[in-house]
Amino acid sequence: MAVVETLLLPQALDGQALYERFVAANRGAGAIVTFSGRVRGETTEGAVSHLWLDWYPGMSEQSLKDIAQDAAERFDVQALLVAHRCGEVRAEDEIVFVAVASAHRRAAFEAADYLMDRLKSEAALWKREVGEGFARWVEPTARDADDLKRWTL
Amino acid sequence: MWATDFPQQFSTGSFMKVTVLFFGKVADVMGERQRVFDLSDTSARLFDLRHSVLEPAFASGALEVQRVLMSVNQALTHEDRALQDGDEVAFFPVFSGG
Repeated sequence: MAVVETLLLPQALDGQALYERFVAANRGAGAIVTFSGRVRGETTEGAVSHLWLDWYPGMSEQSLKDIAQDAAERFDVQALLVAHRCGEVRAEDEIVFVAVASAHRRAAFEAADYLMDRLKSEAALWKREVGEGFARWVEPTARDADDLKRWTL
Repeated sequence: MWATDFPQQFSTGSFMKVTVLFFGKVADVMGERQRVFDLSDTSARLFDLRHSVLEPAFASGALEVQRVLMSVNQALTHEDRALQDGDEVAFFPVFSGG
């Protein structure tokens, strides 16, 4: 069974440090795929200063665990790491970091892709975009819903 | 006032205490993150509680009923779920992570 680790972080997320730790813990893996999601500095509304990610202590952590566990069972992988921010995240900072280790590349690519599609719509978090003169709660888009459907067909 | 909003016909005469949490846009609209209710109807379902608490926000268009999810004791659930004394209920919008 794959080693699964999930982190919900109210403070800075250091993907580089997590990557180095993940590599050190998975020396025998033939493939390591990572994804780093960052807060875009611009949206259609204008320049973004930061996001506020509201969370439900307990339930939010459990949602990350459930998604990661599903990925571990679905793909032939050795280890999975999901780290997600909560609270205030400044523009250009990392909001999510995913790492997957497997014997061969395909499983690692697919598991990382799957993790991100699930996190977008099923991580128990609520995102508010704040910029100069605007603030809005963000909901999953039709594109996010289509992305999620790729894994249920 | 909230306790009296529930139908009385099935009441046993006792009360049950339910903690309600709000997150995301729902917390914004409600202007608070937590409220404790003493329900006079001990057969109340989640539907009844949601109606009592959120109906003004649905009526004004501040929230959409189909965009508000519910949990009891941190597990997503449906509106027909029966409530029990001591339950922790939460109302929140659809999720947006990643």
